[in-house]
Amino acid sequence: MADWIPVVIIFMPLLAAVLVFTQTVRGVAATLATGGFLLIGLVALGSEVSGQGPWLTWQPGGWPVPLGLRWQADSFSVVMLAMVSLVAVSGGLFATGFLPTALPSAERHFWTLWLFTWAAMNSLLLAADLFNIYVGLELMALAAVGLISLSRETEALQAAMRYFLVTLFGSMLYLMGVALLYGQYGMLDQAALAAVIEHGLANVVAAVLITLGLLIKTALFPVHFWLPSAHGKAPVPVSALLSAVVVAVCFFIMYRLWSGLFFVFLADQPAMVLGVVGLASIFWGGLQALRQQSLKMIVAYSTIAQFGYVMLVFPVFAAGGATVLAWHGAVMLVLAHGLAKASLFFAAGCLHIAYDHDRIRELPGGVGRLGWVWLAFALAAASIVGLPPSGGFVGKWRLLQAAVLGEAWFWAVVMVLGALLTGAYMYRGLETAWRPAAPAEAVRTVPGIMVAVTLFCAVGAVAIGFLAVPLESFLGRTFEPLPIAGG
Amino acid sequence: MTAFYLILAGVILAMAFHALMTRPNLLRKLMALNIFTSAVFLFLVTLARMAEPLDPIPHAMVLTGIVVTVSTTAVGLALLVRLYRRSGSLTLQSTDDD
Repeated sequence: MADWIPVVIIFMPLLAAVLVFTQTVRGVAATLATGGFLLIGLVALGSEVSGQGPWLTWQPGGWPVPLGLRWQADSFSVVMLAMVSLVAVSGGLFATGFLPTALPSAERHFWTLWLFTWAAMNSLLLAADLFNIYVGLELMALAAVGLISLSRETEALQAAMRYFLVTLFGSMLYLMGVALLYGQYGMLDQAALAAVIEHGLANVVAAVLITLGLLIKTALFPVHFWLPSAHGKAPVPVSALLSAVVVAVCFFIMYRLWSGLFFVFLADQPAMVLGVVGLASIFWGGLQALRQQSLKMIVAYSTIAQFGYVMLVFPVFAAGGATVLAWHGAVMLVLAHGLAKASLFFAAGCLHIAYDHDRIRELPGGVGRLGWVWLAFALAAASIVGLPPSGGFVGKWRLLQAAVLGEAWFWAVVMVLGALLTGAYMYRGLETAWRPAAPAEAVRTVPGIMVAVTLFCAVGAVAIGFLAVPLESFLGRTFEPLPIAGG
Repeated sequence: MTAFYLILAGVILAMAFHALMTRPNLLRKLMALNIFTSAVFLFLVTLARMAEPLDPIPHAMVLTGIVVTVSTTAVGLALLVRLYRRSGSLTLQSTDDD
C-alpha cells in the first residue's frame, strides 16, 4: 500500500507550520496549500480503505510490532481526517476576514499554532501506539493553549491557564494508565494489546485512568468545567476549531479504545458508566446553555451536551442488537456536529463583529449580509437539534434505531428528551432573529468571506444528511474491531 | 527494593494530586503538575528495572516524556508570567458564566 499517504497527511501541516513561523510562506497560503495536499492524500487514502480495507496499517520505521510504532486507518479515520481538514480550511478562510478586524497583532502566531494543532490532530487520528497518542495529545494541547491565549486579555489568559492545567492533568492520567498496561504486557500497540488483554485489577485501573484522562479532554460532565470559558473566550476561529474538531478527536480516541482495546470490558458496568456520563452531560450542558445570555456561550455549552449524546453509543453497543447502526449514528453525529458547531461559532463571530457584542437580548434581527448569517445559524441549529433532513438528524435517528433494536428503552427515552432540550436552547438563540426589536445600526460591515464560510459550513452540516447513503456504504456494513495481527 | 520505589511513586503522586487540587497559587499548581509527572516517570523507570532482562523501552518513553514536560513547563511559565503582568494576580478566578 502507498507509504506516502500518512506521511503527507501528518507532515504537510507540520511543515507548513514551520514555514509560516520562519516567515517563508504567508499563513493563508500555507493553510490553503495544506488543504490541497491533504485532499489528494485523503482521496488516495479513501480509495485504499474502500479497496483493501477495512483496516490499513503502516510501519514507518520498519520495526516489527512490539517494538515499532504503527499508523493505522479505517473508514472512520478517513471521514474524521476529512472533517478536520474542512473545518481547518474554513476556519483559516474565516480568519482572513476576522483577524485584521479583531486581532491584528496575533496574525503570525495564529497561523503557526493553527497548523500545529492541525498536524497534531492528524497524527492522533492515525496513531496506533498508545504512547504516540500521548505525545500527540500533548502537542495538540500546547498548540490549543497558545491559540486560546492569543488575544492576551485577562479572561482569555485565565481560560487558557485553566485549560492548560486541566488538559495536562488529563494527559498525565492517560500516561499513568498506559504505564500500567505496559507494566502488564510490555506492549503499546493497540491491536497487539487487544489480542492479549484480559480481566484483572491492574487493567481495570488502567482503563479507568485512560478513560478519565480522555473524558477530561472531551469535556464531559463532571469534568467539563474548563470548556465554557476556554471555548467562550478564545478568538472565534479558535473556538470553532476547538469545539468542532479538537474535542471530537479526543472522543475519537476514546471510541477507538473502547471499541478495540477495552472492548472485552465494555459489557455491563463500563458501558453503563459511560452512558450515565453522557446522560449527565446532555442535561447539565443543556440546562446551562438555557441560562446563558450570549450567543457564543450557548454554543459553547451545547458542545458538552452534544458530546454527551455521542457517548450514548457505548450503552447501545453493550445492548447489542444493532452495533452497525449505532456505529454509523455516532460517526454521522460527530461529523454533522463538527460542521454545524463551526458554523454556529462563525455566525456568533460575524454578529460580534457587526454589533460589538453577542448578547441575545440586545441583538436585532438580521438584514442584508447578516440575514445570511442568521440563515446559516438556523441551518446549523437545525442540524444540532436533529431536524430532518440534516446530518444531525441521520446521526440521532440511527442511534435511536439502534437503541430500539437493542431494546435499550431507557437510553432511547434519554435520546428523545435530550433532543427536546437541544431544541429549547437552540431556539433561544434563534428567537432573536425574528423577534421584533429596535433597529440597530451595525457598527462594522462583516467581510463577505466570513459570511460565505459560515453559510458553507451550515450547508455542509445539512448536506451530510443527503449524503448519508454513500457515506454509510463507505463506512461499511459490518462493524470490524481492530485487526489483531500485525500488518 | 523495587517495591519501595513503587510505593514512593504512589506517595509522590498522591502529594502532587493533593497540591494540584487544593493550592490556589498557579505557580504551586504548575509545580504540582511537574511533580505528578515525575511520579509517573518514576513508576515507568521502576517497571523497566523489574523486567528481566532490563527493558529499555520505558527509558525511551521517559526521555520523550521529559522533553515534552520541559516544553509544557515552558509554555505554562510563559502563560503565568503574561497573566501576572496583565492582572497582577497568580490565582484563577472562577468565571463559569458571563
